[in-house]
Amino acid sequence: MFTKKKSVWLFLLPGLAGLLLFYVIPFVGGIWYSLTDGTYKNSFVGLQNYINIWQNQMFLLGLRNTLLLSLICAPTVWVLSFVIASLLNRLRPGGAFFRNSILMPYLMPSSAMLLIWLLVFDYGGVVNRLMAAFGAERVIWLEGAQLRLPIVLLFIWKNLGFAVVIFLAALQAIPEPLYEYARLEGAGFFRQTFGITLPMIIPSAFLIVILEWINAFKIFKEVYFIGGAYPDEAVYTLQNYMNNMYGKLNYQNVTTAAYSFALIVFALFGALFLLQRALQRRFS
Amino acid sequence: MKRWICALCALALTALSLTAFAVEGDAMLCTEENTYIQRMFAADDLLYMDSYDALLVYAPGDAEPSRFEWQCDYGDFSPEDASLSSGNYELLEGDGGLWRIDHLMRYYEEGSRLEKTLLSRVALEDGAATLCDTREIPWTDALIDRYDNNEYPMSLESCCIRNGRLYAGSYTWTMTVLDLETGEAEQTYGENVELFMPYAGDTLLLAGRDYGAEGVALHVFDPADSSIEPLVTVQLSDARGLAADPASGRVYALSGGDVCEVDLTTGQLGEPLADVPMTSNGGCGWMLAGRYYAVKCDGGVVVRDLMAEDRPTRRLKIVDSSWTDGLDDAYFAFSSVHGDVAVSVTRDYQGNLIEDMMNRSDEVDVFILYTSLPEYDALLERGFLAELNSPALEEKLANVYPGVKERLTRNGELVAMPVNCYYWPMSIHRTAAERLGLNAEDVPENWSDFLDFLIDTLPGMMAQSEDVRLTWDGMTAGSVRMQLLMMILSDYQSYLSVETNVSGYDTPMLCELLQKLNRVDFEAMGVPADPEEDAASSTVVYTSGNDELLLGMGMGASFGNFTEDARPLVMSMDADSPSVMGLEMYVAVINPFSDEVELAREFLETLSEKLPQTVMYNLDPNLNDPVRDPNSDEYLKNIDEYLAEVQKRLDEAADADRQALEEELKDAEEMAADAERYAWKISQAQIDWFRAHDDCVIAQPVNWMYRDSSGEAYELMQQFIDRQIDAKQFLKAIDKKYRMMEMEGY
Repeated sequence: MFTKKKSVWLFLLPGLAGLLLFYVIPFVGGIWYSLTDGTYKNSFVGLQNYINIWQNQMFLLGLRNTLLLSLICAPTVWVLSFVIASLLNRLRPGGAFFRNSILMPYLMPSSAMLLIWLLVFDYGGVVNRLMAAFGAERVIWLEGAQLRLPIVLLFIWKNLGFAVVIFLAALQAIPEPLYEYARLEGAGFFRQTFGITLPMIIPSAFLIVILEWINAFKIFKEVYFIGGAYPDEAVYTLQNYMNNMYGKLNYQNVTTAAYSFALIVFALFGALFLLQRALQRRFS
Repeated sequence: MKRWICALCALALTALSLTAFAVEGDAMLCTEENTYIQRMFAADDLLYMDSYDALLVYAPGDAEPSRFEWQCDYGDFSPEDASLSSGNYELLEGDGGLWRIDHLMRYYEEGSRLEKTLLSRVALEDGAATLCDTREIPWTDALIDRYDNNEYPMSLESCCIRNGRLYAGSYTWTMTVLDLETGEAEQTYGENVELFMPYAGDTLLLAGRDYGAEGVALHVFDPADSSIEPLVTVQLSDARGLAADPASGRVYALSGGDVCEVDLTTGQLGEPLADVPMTSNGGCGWMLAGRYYAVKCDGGVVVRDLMAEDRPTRRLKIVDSSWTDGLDDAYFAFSSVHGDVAVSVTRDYQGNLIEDMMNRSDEVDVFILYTSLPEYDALLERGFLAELNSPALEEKLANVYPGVKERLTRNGELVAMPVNCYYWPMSIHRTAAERLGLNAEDVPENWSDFLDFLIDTLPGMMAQSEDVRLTWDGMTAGSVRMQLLMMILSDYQSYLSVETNVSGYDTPMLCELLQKLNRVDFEAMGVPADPEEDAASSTVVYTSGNDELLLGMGMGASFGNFTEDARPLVMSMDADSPSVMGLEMYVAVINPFSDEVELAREFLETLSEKLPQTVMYNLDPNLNDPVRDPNSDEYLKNIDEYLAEVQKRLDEAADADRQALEEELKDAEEMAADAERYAWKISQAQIDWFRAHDDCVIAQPVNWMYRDSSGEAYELMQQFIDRQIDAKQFLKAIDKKYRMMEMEGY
């Protein structure tokens, strides 16, 4: 197909140079930071920074909260987006309006969304008024561990649309005759879903899992905007920890925390990748 | 022969290194401690410096200025009666001569009044500056300050005479034009004239800042037709040090300790041409012969040749955030040995210290920092301070209180040198306490008992006396409660740093203290709840020396700034916990990324020798000898002479004037009685008080609330003061945040 392979490299060079300059070199440089003591002399200390950080309670708290939030947010978005995409798939003629509407939060700036959320979850906001109307007591949603719920809801609201669009495209790519044949053979809704739909959208499904999990790991600015640098322990994330360390000139702790987390993420996504491959082999 | 050659070479090298600066024409003038220059200006390429008792005149190239002693004989206008005396005066140039304006003041029991203003030509001859052709001139209300029953002529920031009219600028940032014949006065360019100076073609260059605008705006004012033309806006934070050369029209500015030429088309500053110690400045700079720049600093007058070809090749930049005493002396002493080094001192630091360190910037060599701010903590904890490695400094600081020294060292190495120390505790005014029938020594020195005292005892005492107020006018119950809350929390933080068995803020002890604080009834002690209720007497009265105010918050109790008549309270949390005296410090540190670390080290050694004695007395418990004020003997002699003079005037006075003079004699006798008390820079009583607290001296820790950028801690404090949350809720909230910060660590 490519008759002049050498020229391919020429076209790839700018991209590769950018990748090298803005990703690879900083990545390797960051590893060096995590192995030094951080004084102006920058002495090599081996893995001591890693040992110290894994003994730090706030790092462990941030890590725990980040993983917990991602375990709540990513699967929730996945399931909801699949359900909504399935429904939208059935509304072919009018589906475009709803699809565009559900994508709007993804396009909105986070700061604008946060302002809306602050109004909605304020002590005198919509949510508390509804609760009061139903006889329940008002809750201070924006303080303490209660802040977790608005954060999760905000994440879901913001990221649902993009996942729906991807699922929708995958669902619309499934040939209709497959469903007709299945109905003729007597397959019900669930049989069709698990026998046709899910196997056919495995690549897109895993793409959404990975994207949503990555987005969930990046939850920070909402927490920082509402709770500051030291929010409640229930929403103190790893990014809070790294942000605070950065403010104290502690490059070493920032990079050590980042690479520790990167190892966990690599392990997690590696496992997901193997799972995906296994499922694809099974269903093919 | 060889020996002689070596000796001559050594002499030559010594002479070279001992030159003030490498450049001919650079000079340091009037650096002796007692020569304070009140006003300075240039005319006909001569620099005139007025030092109250003499007029000093300097021509570029002179080894030192010529001295002319003031001979103030006003001729026919000499004051005849004793109640009329000379007030302040101004020295100025214009219309081809030197002039002096003298204000004669009349002092009454109720106040003072400006009686007349005299204008004299100044003649310089045979070492004397004499006044001649003295005449009375009108003065204008625009240049008179009045309050209560006193009136004083304003001190002029800039002034000159052109064609029989006085052009005067003052702290009001306006330029007043006074016709010296008719007395007509007008204000030209009615706002924002910070200073002005002679400019090209007999015009004046006005410099000032508009509120909220960036940069200093320059305008050219022509006295001939009173027209004003804008020239350029210069990128400066203030106009001090600006100088104009009337011959060439060039303008020079002082920025960041460097003298630079101003580009009159863009307002940008050019490359540095010379350095000056910019720790203080008294107005504009002056140009001599089109190339020498002269400016007045605290330590003296500095003259720089801006057109020299051989400038110093090395450079040392110092950023001072503390108005350090002794920095000017160190500058001059260091520069006299290192003629090849340009030393610039500035307070105008535009960078972000943390970011600059992260970027390994070498722009600044020495920082003088406040140790109670998070920036110093960050640099110290992260190891971004160069080790001082100086045996001289190690020896000087060898006996510093251990609780202070740990704030100056990292891993056992000295990394900071203290240049200033303060202790600002709460204090009780002894005189005000006596009026209440209270012995100041009986006031409890722990917060628990002190708050009980405020709840149970003091309101009753205050109710029986109308003469004593609790604290300043203008404060409300809420603001006093907030002050006390901040002091309690600050002392508690100091307490945590020494008491290792206690951690966190959510403790029964602190909770009890805050509950007590809530029970104090400040309104019963005369402090209004609402600021509007006290609108009639909303003037803030300063506590220093005021014997009607009982409680002083934040009053000096360290060597160099002890407040007289006050009993400082070194508070502990309760009767069983230790007292802590948290010293706040400014320290000099070396940027580890500086290219001149060795030079910076040497500068710090020089600085350590020039610091006031009071600094080390605050830090070293082995220094216990009282120190007399070097000016006290002369002061005492002046008092005695003044007493004798007033007595003589009283003996010769007519009956009508006797009463005023008797009052003056009585005041003078009181001054003489107090003179011995004020004759000590460091008195035995101060030493005894300070050393009695030797075991509780530490360096004040950083207020952890500064580290939290969200400001939540202050919001919580306000909610507690407003009683929206109680003590338990408040402490629980801040304790959580505090523990998170502590667990995060550095």
